[in-house]
Amino acid sequence: MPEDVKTKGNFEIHKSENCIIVSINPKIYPLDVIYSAAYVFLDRAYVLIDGDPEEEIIIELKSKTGKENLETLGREFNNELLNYAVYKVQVEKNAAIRQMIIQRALLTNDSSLKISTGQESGKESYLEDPEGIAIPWEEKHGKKNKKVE
Amino acid sequence: MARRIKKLNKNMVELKFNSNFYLKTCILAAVKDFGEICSCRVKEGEKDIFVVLKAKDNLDAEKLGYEFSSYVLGVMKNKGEV
Repeated sequence: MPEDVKTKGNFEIHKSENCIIVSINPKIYPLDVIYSAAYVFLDRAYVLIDGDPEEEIIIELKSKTGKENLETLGREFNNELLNYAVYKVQVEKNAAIRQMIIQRALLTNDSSLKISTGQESGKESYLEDPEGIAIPWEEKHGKKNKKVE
Repeated sequence: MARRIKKLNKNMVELKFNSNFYLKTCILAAVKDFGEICSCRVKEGEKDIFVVLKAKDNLDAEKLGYEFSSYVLGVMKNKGEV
């Protein structure tokens, strides 16, 4: 191993090439989580994916500016992996309830599924006033008597 | 470290994409988009797809290669392929 290569945890830092190699176990982090984490890093680093999808996935991160701390970059990548892994677990957990909410929202305005109350004939117009709520108070109950002082 | 980006000469670079992770359709889409700034050649190996980029003008070939590989990843994500 060349002198400028430093190994720490699951990553190798290649200082002379200004890049860091992160090794990931695909049994812990699935491929879609890895893609999502890699995508987040696209504006900070050049990302290359290699390895074996069954055994070990290798991510090469090369800093775009050259000024970034490589170890920090690697550790932040690990955090991003964890972030997306948790997100994926939550999404899977809430899948059923999300489906129900969407179905309910879509069915709300379906007139064929409207529950009949028995009072709706379907011919009523907004101009009709069976309850008499449009009649002014004075017409209905007479004018208020003024208080005599 | 196995080189995934190999500089062939001053303005040429060869990229190696593992076909387990990169989709050929997305690589070809990136090749199409990069057509204005470089000439591209795609070769398909047993488990890798090789792309040779020849930079037009005086572009840094290595940087071009890295930009290309990041672009492919972006295409894959934006197309919803992964």
